[in-house]
Amino acid sequence: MPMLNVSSIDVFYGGFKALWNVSLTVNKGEFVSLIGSNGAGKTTTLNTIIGLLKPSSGEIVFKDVKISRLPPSRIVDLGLALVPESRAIFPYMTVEECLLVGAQIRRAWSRRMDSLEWVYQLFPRLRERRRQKAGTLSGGEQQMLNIGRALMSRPELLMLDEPSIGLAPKIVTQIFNTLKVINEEGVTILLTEQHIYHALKMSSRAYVIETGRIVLTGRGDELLNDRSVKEKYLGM
Amino acid sequence: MNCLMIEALRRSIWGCSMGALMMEVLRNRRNQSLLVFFIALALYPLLLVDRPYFIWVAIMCNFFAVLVVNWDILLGYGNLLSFAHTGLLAVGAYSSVMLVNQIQIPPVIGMFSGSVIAAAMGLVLGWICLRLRGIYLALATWGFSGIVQRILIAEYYVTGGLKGFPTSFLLPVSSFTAPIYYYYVSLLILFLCVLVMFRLINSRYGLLLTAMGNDEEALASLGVNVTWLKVSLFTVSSFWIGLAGAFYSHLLGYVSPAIADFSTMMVTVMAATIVGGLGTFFGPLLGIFIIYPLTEIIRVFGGANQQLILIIVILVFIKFFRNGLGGLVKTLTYKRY
Repeated sequence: MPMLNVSSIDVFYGGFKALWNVSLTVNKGEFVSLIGSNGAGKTTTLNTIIGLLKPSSGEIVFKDVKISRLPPSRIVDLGLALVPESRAIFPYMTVEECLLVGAQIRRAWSRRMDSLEWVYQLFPRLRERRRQKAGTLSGGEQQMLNIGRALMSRPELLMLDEPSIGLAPKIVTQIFNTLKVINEEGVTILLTEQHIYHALKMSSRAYVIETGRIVLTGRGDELLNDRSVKEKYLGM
Repeated sequence: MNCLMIEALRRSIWGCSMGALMMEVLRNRRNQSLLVFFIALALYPLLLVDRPYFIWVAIMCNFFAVLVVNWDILLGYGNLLSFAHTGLLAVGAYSSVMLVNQIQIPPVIGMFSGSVIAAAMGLVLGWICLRLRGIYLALATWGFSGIVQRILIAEYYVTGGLKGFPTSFLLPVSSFTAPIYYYYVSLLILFLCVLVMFRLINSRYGLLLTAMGNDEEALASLGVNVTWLKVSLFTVSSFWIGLAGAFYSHLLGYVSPAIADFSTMMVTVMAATIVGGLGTFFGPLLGIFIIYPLTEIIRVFGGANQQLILIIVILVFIKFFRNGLGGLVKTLTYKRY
């Protein structure tokens, strides 16, 4: 039984159909990536899973609970967390306050001190800057804060929307390495990427999405050697 | 084993006792300064017992301080620019006065019913204005206050029109013969309001409130129910504003649409909050003890000029001291980590 099961969902923005019959599954402990170019429907898929958008047909099941009609607050309570694409940090709050906001759900609040310690271990940079206003952080540090804040809710499945966007290559490697560590500590990961190479090297499985449809699926290293993927996304 | 149990028992008794709680509370610098502030407020009117005018000024300071604290929390923390204060003041005042006059309940109970009605009004207003932000929220709430004042003037057979109507005093003695008692009632109201609001903003709720003021969408994406946050904040602050309004009418023994007057009430509140420093909690609280006496001093220039001077003060502070006095203190005591 997969941890997350998205079965044939259709999603509309008004009259525009953004997702066509999208199905994907994520098993416990996996590192799954959803790759595709701009406007393919990656963000839409994640936003639908977290409950910000509602599918017009199909259903989403997370840990045996049907979540496709629940509000985001209930879904986060069940153990799902989303790291949004736009680094929506709270600029006038300190790093530590921002992290604590992430731990607001009842289940996570009592463990907030442990979670804080965990996040600081994963991102030592945040510990150094914990009393600094979040708005004064660099882009990479803001992304770390963004990921840390989502981890504070103690998710079982962490979804990341293009964590590498707008970051220096060195920081991207660092963030992907940390994601690997998080995954090894038992958090299941589903991420979307345009940085195909990094994402595919790390993932156990991957889905390729194109104009709202899943067109290809397979193991990460398989897809990395796939001819059509190479041509389209790696320019080889 | 036995030793451990005794130790645990001793600790739990100590942990529960009031003394330990007080010690815990007083270890915090901010709590200490708050306590000192209230002790000073409780003592200084004793020096002015035979000068009723100064006692009246002090009562008005406390009354306005309740409004200012609530405005600061709405705007400084939650980033909600609301002008519903004057409307809610009138709702609290008129409902209390009508209940007291018509079904002869004691003014103290009338006061609390008035504030509960104002809180209910705040709840409804919060629901309606939920989707509005920034200047649109300001316009809608300003409209609400305007509508309330119009209704009070126009529906004269219910509300008494521009004349308003007299009501009983809060205490058995009139505020004009013994204002000092009324001073302590106003201080009690201010103390309760500050206590509740201070605990609120230093709790988990306050953390979420600040986050909402920073970035509403980001907070919603973390799975926080932002709607609930806004409506509950509106309701709680409306309660205190309603209480202040009801107190004001039973202080004067009289209520009229002047209580909903934007230029006398709201401008003073805005000036105190901005001079004190938005979002600093203590700043605006101190600010009103500067601004209200100032309005008394400049009263000799006439009503319109009084407003003009206050607005100039607001503009000067917005232009040159954006963070107010509270922000100035913060900058001076800023520690590098």
